[in-house]
Amino acid sequence: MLRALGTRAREILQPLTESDLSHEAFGYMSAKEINVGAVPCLAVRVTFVGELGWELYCPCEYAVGLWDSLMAAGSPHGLVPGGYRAIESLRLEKGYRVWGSDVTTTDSPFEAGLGFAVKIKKGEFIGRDALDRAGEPTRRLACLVLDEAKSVVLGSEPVRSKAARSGA
Amino acid sequence: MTSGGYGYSVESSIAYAYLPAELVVPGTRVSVGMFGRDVGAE
Repeated sequence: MLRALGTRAREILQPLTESDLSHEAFGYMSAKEINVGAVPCLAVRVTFVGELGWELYCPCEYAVGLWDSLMAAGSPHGLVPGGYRAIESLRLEKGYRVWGSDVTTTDSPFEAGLGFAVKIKKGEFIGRDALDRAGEPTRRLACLVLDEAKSVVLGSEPVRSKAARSGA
Repeated sequence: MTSGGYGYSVESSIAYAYLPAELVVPGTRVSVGMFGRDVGAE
């Protein structure tokens, strides 16, 4: 899967396809099968970086062709390849949580800052009783800014406050 | 700490951690244990 991400994603991608990529025709969180250059793709308008973009899924034998098409069309717009660490930086700034590290089976959506995604009043669903009983969270996921820009955490480091050791 | 990285827009090292709710207020000072020393954070 390749992604076209950033404010110019539509400018880069639109000339490569006959499908309409306008916001009206291809809304956020929707998916369509489109051709990008000569490559059939499932295009999904969702990103994990807080910017406009599409995820493009294609059969693996077409991936190099898709890469070449995107790079050729994107280079005049300043398109550069980016990998997982770039996505990680951007999603941290956006506030997106990663399942398995930021959110696990032991964290409630309210603790994780994901309460906006829970509709308690929509009727019965798995876990509703537990969320109803939980009350106000006693712990919350916080975004910290470190004093040293070059000290980058790996995960699982201890955090301490003058009041108490607060866990990991 | 649950995860962290360099934030290129804010030009800072940023990280997520679960903390007691009373500490989750902007400006609260904490420290992070990294490779045997404490690095300040807020």
